[in-house]
Order: sequence, then structure tokens, then C-alpha cells
Amino acid sequence: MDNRIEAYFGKTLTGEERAQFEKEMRKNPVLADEVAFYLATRKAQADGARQETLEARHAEWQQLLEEEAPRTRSLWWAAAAAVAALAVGLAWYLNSSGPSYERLAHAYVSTELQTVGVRMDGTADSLQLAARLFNDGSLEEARRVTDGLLANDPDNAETKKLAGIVSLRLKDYDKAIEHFQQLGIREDLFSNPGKFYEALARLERKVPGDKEKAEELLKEVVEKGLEGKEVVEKWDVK
Amino acid sequence: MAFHPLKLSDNDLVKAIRPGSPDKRRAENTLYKQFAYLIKEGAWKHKLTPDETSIAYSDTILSVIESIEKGRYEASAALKTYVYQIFNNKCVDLIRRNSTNKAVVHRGTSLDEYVYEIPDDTRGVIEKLMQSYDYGLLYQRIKQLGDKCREMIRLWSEGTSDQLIAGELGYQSADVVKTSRLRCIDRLRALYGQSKVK
Repeated sequence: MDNRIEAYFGKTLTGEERAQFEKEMRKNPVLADEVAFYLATRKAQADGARQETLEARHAEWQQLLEEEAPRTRSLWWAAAAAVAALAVGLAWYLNSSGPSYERLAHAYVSTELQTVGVRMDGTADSLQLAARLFNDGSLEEARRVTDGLLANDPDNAETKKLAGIVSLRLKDYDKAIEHFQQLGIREDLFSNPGKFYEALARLERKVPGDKEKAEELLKEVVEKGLEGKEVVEKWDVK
Repeated sequence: MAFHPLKLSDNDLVKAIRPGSPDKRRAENTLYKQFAYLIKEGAWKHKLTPDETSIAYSDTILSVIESIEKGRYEASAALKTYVYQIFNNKCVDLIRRNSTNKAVVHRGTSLDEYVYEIPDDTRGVIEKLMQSYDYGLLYQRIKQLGDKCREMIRLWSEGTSDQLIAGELGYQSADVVKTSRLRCIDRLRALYGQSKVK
């Protein structure tokens, strides 16, 4: 096996050596196959070990559910009472503090922007890869992929949107706002969440002036019928 | 300190699942039980069998545990939402696999970070070559390697640094680990090749 494979993935090749290795990988099927086998080994081990863990835990958890089944019925009434108490508590909390854009935006980011859609066809282009990494919680890795994509194609709206969401989840609000602003000014898109997302990022960043700017943006979203309008209308903040 | 499973908040549960917690296993089981109703709900919503959603749910809980262990879970997301969304994705993956019957290369664990070190124009070719290998057979052959090779490949696939692998397995340096790993992979390749010929 070519010794440079370790150095390539360990990032210890010089720029020139790296370029040469990549050129050879494209042209030399033997080297390409060695790289593929190297990566397949790593993945086979990771998949195999995880599958074994999954099978063992699944069996253990199935057993747990079977043991729990009779107890669950007697707990039903207690659970119903707990739910009722929680509902009363939540109603009290909402009445006493009232909804604010900050709280609603935070809740929205925490619930609706945890995952993004991936195509169902199993394709593995870089944007899909970034989306899958994001959904897996590998945010830094997703950012590396979107940054790479934007370096080659800075006008790609889908990449821009995902890059903004990734930055938002990483709490890099300045970067998220920059991405969403660039997206929001585009007028060639059928659906553009740029301004709505910029408002969310500002409400999360909370520097002086952010709240006012976010409110302006949300007003614009509703007035112009931009993406996010239905969400803002449901928020019903007085 | 012992805890009662029904009294745990998201925060307490996450803390108890983190590595080193004395209540780890118990907290993991509590997490599993907490959202187990999703198994029935998923079967109905996605038109999958209860067995399929049951394994998808176990897979989900395992992914959540892994995320917590690796510090990827953010407390800003409610645990329920987090579990629900991962479970939904696992069910969609299952539907896709059922409908296309296609063994995609990023099956099981997510795509290795190493794969996207490769430039876009070459990655497709490498992935195609990767798909030509039988991962189940490859894993069996890894198990047949000597203890040291097997352990080295295991640690490497978990993302352990070569420096740490050297310390753990008694190699002189990270460089020796790299060279030895390539030899192990060469040996694995020969073993895999033999079984494919038969």
C-alpha cells in the first residue's frame, strides 16, 4: 500500500505533494483502489462495531420494555395527573411572562433548525454530505464542507442557506447574519428565508440594536409575504 | 447518588449519560424508555413494521447517546425534539433503503471525515470503489487479524490519535503506528482477497 496514503489523510504532505497525489489518484486506478480499500477498512470497522453495539443494546432494551409492560398500566393514572399538572404550570408560565420574539426565536432555532432536509435518492454530493453531517450533529465538519463549497460557488443559494444555519447552530451569529443578509438581498429566488433567518440570528445574538432590526425584518417578512410569514403570524407578539 | 428515572430533567439525564457518570447505564435505559412510544407512532406514520421501527428507535437512542458522549448534543434543543427528529430521519432512511434496496456507501455510521478530504471530482470514483467491497465480510476479516492489528484498526476507526494509539499499544512513535497500520491493511487486503477468490 502506498505510504503517502497515511500522510495524505494525516495532512502531512506539502501542498505540492498533495496536488501530485490527488492528480495520481485521478489517473492511477491502482492508487485509487488502495485509497478506497484504506477508507473501506475504516468504515467497515466503524459500521461493524456499531452494528454489534446496536444489536446488543436493542436486545437489552427489548427485555426492559417487556419487564416494564405490567407496571406501565398502573402508572397511567399517575402519568395523566402529571401531564395535567404540567399543563397548568405551563399555562401559568406563559401567562405570567408572555411570549417575546427572543423566546419564540430561540424556541424555533432549538426545534425547527436541528435538522435540514436531505434528498431521498441517496446521492452523495457535497451539499448533501454537509446536510447529513449537520443532521448528525457534526457541525464543525458541516461548516468545513459548506465553506469549501462557497469558496468554489459563492452564489449558490442552497449552500448559503445551509452555511447560515450551520453558523447559527454553532452560535457564530456574526457569520450567520452575514450569510443570511447575502441570501436575503437576492431577488432571483422563488423562496427566500434570508430575512426571516437573519431576524432569528439577531434575536439570538442580542447585541444592542439587534432586537429592533429583527422586528423590522419580521415586519418586512409578513408584509412582503416572504418565507417565514406563517411562523411570524402564529407568534402573535403584541 | 441514586435517582428516580421519572424525576429526571433533560439536563440531569444528559449529565448522567456523559462519560464517567456512575449512573450512565441506568440513565441510558431511562432515555430509551422515555420516548419508546415513538415505536408505535413511527410504524403508523411511516407505514413500517413495528420490528423495523423498533430497531430504528434503538438506533436513534444509540445515536443520541453517542452525540451526548461526543458533546454534540446542545442543551438548547429539547431532548424530545432531538430524539424525534433523529428517529424521523432513521425511518426515512429505512424507507429509502426498502424502496431502492441500494447499499449506499454512507450506510451505518455517517460518512467518514476522511472521505471529504478527497476533492469533489475524485470522491465519486473513490466512493464507487468503496461500494465494491463487502463491508460485512471485511469486518469479519478484520476480526481474524492478530490482536494488535485489530486493536489498532478499532482505535483508528474511533478517531483516536496515532500518538495515543502508540501509547496504548506500545509502539515507539506515531510514525511507527502509521507504518504498522498500512502493513495491517495490506494483510487484511490479502485475507479479504483470498476469501473473495474461494
